[in-house]
Amino acid sequence: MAISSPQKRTDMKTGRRTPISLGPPAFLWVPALFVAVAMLLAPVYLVIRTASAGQDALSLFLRERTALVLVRTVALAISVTAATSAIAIPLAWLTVRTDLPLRKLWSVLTILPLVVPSYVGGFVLVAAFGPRGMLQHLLSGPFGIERLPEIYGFPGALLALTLFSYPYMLLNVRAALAGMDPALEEAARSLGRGPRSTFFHVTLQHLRPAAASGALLVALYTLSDFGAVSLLQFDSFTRQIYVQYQGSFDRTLAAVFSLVLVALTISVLFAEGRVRGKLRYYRSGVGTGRPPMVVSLGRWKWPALFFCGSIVLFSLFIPIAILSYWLVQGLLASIPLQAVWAAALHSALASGLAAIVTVTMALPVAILAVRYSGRLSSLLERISYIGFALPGIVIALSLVFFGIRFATPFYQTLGMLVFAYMVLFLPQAVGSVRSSVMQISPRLEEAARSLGHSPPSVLARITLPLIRNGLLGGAALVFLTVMKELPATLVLSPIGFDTLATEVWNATTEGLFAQAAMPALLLIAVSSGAIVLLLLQEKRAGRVER
Amino acid sequence: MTFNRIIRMDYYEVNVLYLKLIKTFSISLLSLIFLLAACAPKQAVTPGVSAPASSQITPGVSITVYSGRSKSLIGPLLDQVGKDIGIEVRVRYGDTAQLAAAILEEGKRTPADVFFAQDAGALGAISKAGMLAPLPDGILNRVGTEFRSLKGDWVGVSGRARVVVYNTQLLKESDLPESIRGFTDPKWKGKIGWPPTNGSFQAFVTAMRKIEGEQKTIQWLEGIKANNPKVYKDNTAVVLAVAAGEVQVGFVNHYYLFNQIKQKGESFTARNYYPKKGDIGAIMNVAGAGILSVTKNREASERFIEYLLSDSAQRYFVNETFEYALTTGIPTHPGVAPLSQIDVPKIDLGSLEDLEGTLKLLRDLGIL
Amino acid sequence: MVNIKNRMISEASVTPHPDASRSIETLISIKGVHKSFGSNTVISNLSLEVRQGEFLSLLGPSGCGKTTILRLIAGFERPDAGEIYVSGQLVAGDAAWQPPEKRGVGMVFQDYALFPHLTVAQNIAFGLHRFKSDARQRRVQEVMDLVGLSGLGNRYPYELSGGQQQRVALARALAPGPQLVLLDEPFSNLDTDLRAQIRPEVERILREAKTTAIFVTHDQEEAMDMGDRVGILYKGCLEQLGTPEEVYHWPATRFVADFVGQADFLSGKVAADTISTEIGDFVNVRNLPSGCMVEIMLRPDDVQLFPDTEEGPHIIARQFRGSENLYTVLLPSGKQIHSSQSSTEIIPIGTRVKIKVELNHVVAFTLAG
Repeated sequence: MAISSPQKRTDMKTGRRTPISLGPPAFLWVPALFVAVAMLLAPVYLVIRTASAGQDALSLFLRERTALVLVRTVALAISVTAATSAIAIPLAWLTVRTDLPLRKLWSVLTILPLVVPSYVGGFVLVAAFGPRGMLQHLLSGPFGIERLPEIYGFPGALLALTLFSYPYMLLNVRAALAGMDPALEEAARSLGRGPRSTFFHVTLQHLRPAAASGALLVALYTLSDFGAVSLLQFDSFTRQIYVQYQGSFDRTLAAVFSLVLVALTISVLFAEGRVRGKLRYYRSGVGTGRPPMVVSLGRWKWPALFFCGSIVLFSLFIPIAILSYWLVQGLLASIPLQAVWAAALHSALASGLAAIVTVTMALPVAILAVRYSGRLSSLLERISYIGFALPGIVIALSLVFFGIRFATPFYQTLGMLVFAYMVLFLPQAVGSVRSSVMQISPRLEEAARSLGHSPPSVLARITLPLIRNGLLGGAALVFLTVMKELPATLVLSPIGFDTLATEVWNATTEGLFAQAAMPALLLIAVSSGAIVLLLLQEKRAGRVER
Repeated sequence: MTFNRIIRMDYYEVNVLYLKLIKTFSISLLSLIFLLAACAPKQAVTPGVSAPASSQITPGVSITVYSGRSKSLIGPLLDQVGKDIGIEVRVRYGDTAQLAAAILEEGKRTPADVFFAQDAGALGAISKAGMLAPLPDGILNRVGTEFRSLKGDWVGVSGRARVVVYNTQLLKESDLPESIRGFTDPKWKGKIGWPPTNGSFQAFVTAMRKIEGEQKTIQWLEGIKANNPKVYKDNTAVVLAVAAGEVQVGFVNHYYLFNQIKQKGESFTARNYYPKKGDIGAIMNVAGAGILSVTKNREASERFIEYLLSDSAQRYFVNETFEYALTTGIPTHPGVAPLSQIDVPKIDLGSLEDLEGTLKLLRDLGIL
Repeated sequence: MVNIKNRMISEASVTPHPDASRSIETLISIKGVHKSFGSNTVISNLSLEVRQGEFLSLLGPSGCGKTTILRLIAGFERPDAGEIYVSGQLVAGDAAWQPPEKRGVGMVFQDYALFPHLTVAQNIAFGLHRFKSDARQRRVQEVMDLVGLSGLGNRYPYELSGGQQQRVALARALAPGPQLVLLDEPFSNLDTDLRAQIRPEVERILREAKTTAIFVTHDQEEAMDMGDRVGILYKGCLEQLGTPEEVYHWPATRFVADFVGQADFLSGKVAADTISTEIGDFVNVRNLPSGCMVEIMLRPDDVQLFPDTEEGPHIIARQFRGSENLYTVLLPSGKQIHSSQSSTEIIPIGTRVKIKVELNHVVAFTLAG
C-alpha cells in the first residue's frame, strides 16, 4: 500500500534523474532538422554579406528615409491585412453558411484570384484604373472625365495586394467555418443572443485562429511582394531591396535591408504567436456530422450578390478580360504568338514537384508543432516562415551562394529549384497541415499504437488518411504560388527551363503585352484547373467520411 | 459475406497500398528529380542543333550565356547563333541586375561563360570585381572606342539612344525644348515621367556628370525633382503612361516606343524626340557582352561575341529590336531616326562603369 | 477548512483479498512510479500489482491521476521514476523502455477513438495486421460475435449508436487477444439506462475473453460493481486498494471514507475503553490513547431513528430515494448526520428523534493536533 510521507516524496524527487519524455521519433525530427537548416540558409547568408558592410553602407541604411520606408511598409502590411479580412470573412460566411444563389460557383470564383500573379494584376489595374486607363476612356465620352484620381502609391498598392491576396485568408476562414460545430451557435441562440450578436460573439471568435494564420500569410506576402508595389509606384521595403540590387549591384546594402525584413517578420510571427498561443486548444468541433445552420439571406440576397460579384469582377474578370483584349489586339496586329505548351508543362511539373516536396517537408514540422509542442518545435514552426517573408531574389541569391559552394552538382538543377520553392513557400503547407492535424484526436493515434502499430505505420494508416484534405489544401496552395514565382525561377532553374511565369515576364519586361497575354492566360487556366481538381477531391473525401 | 471481403481487400490491401504508394511515390519523385536534373540542361537548346560541317569548332562544345536581355526580343537571334557557328549556346534569361548579382555571388565557380547585359553599368560591376577576361582586339575594334570598356574586357553590341518620349495628342514636337535642361521649367510640373531605378537612366545621369560636371547635374536633377516627376518602374511603363496621357513627356531609351507601335499600330499616341545640338539628353547607351575570366570555353565564347557583332546579328538588332547597329555599314531601321539626323554627344561608355557616384547623388537628392 | 491530518487507524489495512492468494500469477507490477507534468505532480510513488484474470477498478475524483496510470501502463507516458512490469518483463524504467505497440496491452478510450475513415470491420481488424488474411477474417468475425455486432461490419463509426460504438471499441481492443485491457471511463459517454444495460455485458465479454482488465472511473457504483478489487486514488496517491467491501466498510483514510458511499463524521474523545460522542459511546477497539480527539465514521444505514421523544435532535430534511428515505438530523451541537430508513414509514420534518447507532465495527480517524 502506497502512502507516502512528504519526506519520502522529496527523496524521490532529488533521487530521480532528469525525466525523459516520449521524444519524437527519428522519422520526424530528422526531416524537421533538415527543414530548419534549409530555412536558416538565407539568414546566415545575409549575416555573411552584412558582415562585410562598410561604414558607408551602414550610414546609407541609417538615413531617415529608411525609417520612413519601414513605417510605410508596416502601414501597408497592416492595411492590406485589415482589408483582406474585411473581404474574406464576409465572403467565407456568404459562401459557406447562407443560401446565396449559386453558392458553389461563388466558392470557386472567389478563390480563383489567387492564381493571378501580382505583377500581372498590377499591370492590369494600371491599364484599367490608371488616371487615363480604360475606365477613364469609358467615362470620358458620356461624362467628359479627363482624368481619374491617382491610383499610384499607397491606395493602388493596397488595392492590388488586397485583391490578389485575400484568398489566402478566405481559404483559412472557409475551412474553419465549415468545420465549426453548429452546437456553438445554437447554444448562443438558446441563451437569448440574436443572429448578429451570435455572429460577433461566437462565430467570429471561433474564426480567430484561422483568421490569424490567414492574416499572417497575407502580411508576409505584402512584406515580400515586389511586382505590385513597383508597378503601382509604392516605395516599400522589398522595393528598396530590389533597388539596391538594381542600381549598384550592392549586395551588402541589400543584405542589411533584408535582415531588417527578417527582424520585421520575426516580430509579426511573435505577434501572431501571442494571438494563437492563447488559443492553442481552440479546435473546430469534430465528431458531429451535422451540417452547420444555413442562414436565409432574404432581401439581403441582392446586396450579397453584388458584393461577391464586384470582388470577382475586379480580382478575376477584369484581369482576364484585359489579358484577352491584349491577346486579340496582338492577333489583329498579326504578331506571331507562339503557344507556350512547353512552358506550361515546365510550370506544371515544377509546381507539382514543389507541392509534393513542400507538403512532405511540412508534415514533420506540423506534426511536431501539434503533437510534441514545446519550445523547440514551435521555434521550428516559426523558422519555417522566414523564407516566405523574404523577397524571392534574396532567397535565390542565398541559394546561389551556398548551392554553388556546397552542392555544385545540384546547382541550377530542377532539384535545386524545387528546394528553393520549398524554402519560399513552406509556411503555406505547414499552416494547412497543422490545422488538420489539430483536428485529429491524439487518442486515435494512441489507439493504433496500442493495437501494435509502430509510429511510421500509424502515420501511414491513421494520420495521413485523416489529414488528407489538409495535405491536399497545402499542396494546392503551394502549387498555385509556385506557378507565379519569378525571381528564384529566373536565377535557379535549369537553363532552358522556361515556365509560364518567365514567359510572361520576358514579354512584359519589354512591354510586349500581346505576347504576355497568352502565357498569362494559360497560367490562369492551369492554376484554375488545379483549384477545381482540389475542390473535387475535397468533395469526394467529404462523401467518404460523412 | 461482404465485410469479409472488405477486411481482406479494402482494409489490408488499401493500407498496404498506402505504404506502397508512399514508397513508390518517393522513389519515383527522387528519380524524377535526378533524371530531370541530369537531362534538363541538355535539352536547353532546340534539339537537332548540330555543328554544321563548315564549323571550325569541335562539335559538342557548348557555352552558357547569362542574358539580361529578354528572350522575347533576342531569343530568335541566340537560337540562330548556335546553328551558325556550330556550338551549343545555353542561355539563362533574366533581369540584368539580378543576373549580375548572381554572377558576383557565384564567383569563380560561375557556370556562365558570357554575360550579355542590358546596360554598361552591370558589365562595369562584373569588370570591377575582376571577373571579366580581356577581349581580343579583333572584337574590340569592331565598334568605336566610345562603345567599349576602357579595360577592354567588354564590348557594346547594340546601341539605344536616350530620348524624350512625348504624347502626340497633348504636345507638338515644337513644344519641346532643345535641351532636356528645358524640362526644369515649372511649366512642366506634374507632366514628366521617369524611371530612376532603371540602369539606363542611371547610366545617363553618370554621363551627364562626366560631361557637364557634378554641379550642373545636381541642378538638373533638382530642377526636375521640383516639377514632381512621376516615378515609373521601367522604360516601358513610362512609354505607356506617356501614350495614355498620364504624363506628357518621359525620359527613356528610344526603342521601347517601337515595340508598342508594332503591337498597337501607327495610331499609338507617343513618339520619340531627340534633344538637339549634342545635348546630353540624346546620349547613346549600349547593350554589351563580356567573357567571364573563369571560362573553359574562351574560344567559343569569343566566337559568340564575334557573331553578335557580325553583319547579320547587327541587322537583327536594327530590324527586330529597333536598336542602332554599332558596327559600320548597317542602315538604321526605317522607322527609327538615323544616326545622321541626331546629334549624339561623344562620351566613352567605358567611363560610365563607375555608378557609385551617381547612386550616391540620387540617394542624397532623395530620388532613390 | 480545519487542518485535519488523516491518518489511517481503522482495522482495515493491507489485508489481502480472500480470493487473491499469492499463488496466482502477477500480470502487472508497478513499483514506485512517479510522474509529473512540469511542476504538477500527477502520480506519487505508486506501487500496485494486478493479478492474472483480475478486474481492477481505479476510482477517484477527476484530476486524481487515474487516467495517467492507464497511460503509463499502455506506454503513452513514460514514468519519471519507478518501474512497470508486464508479465514479469520490465517495460518502463531506467533500464528499459517498451513502446506501446510492443506491450500487448489493449485500450478502450473514453471517447472510443474509433478510426473515422475505417469501417467497423476494418477498425476491429486494425490490430490484426500480423495475421494472415483468413485468420484475420475469422478473428474479426469471432470478436464481432462476442460483442454482438454481427452484421454491422460494413458500417462506419458515425453510423452507429453510442452503445454500438462502445462495443466496437471493446472488440477492437480485444481482437489481438491482449493479456490486459485498459478501459478509460468506458461508460461515461453513455446515458444511464444504456450504462446499466451495457455494464454487465462488457463484464461478461471481458470474462469470456479471459482477459485481465484495469478500468478507470469516477463512478463508485460502477467501480464496486465491476472490480474484483478497487483502488482509490487521491491527488496522485493510492489511498487504498482492496475489495469493494473492504473499501466501503473499512476505509483506510478519511478521504476514502468520505468518497466511497455516504458518511458523516462525528467527533469524539477517547477514554480508556470507550470513545465518547454527543450521541453516545463507542468501543475503543483499536486501543487509541486516552484523551485523543477522533472522528467516528457513520454510514446512514448505521443510524437508527426513534421518533417518540420530546427532546434531543430533530429532523430537518427528508429525501425520498425509492425504497428508502434519507433523513437529515440536526444534533444539539449543530452537527448534521444522515440516516436512511425504510420508505414505508414517513417521519415528518421537525420530529424529535432518539438516535441509536449500531456499528459492526468502529472506524475512527484521529484529528491532527
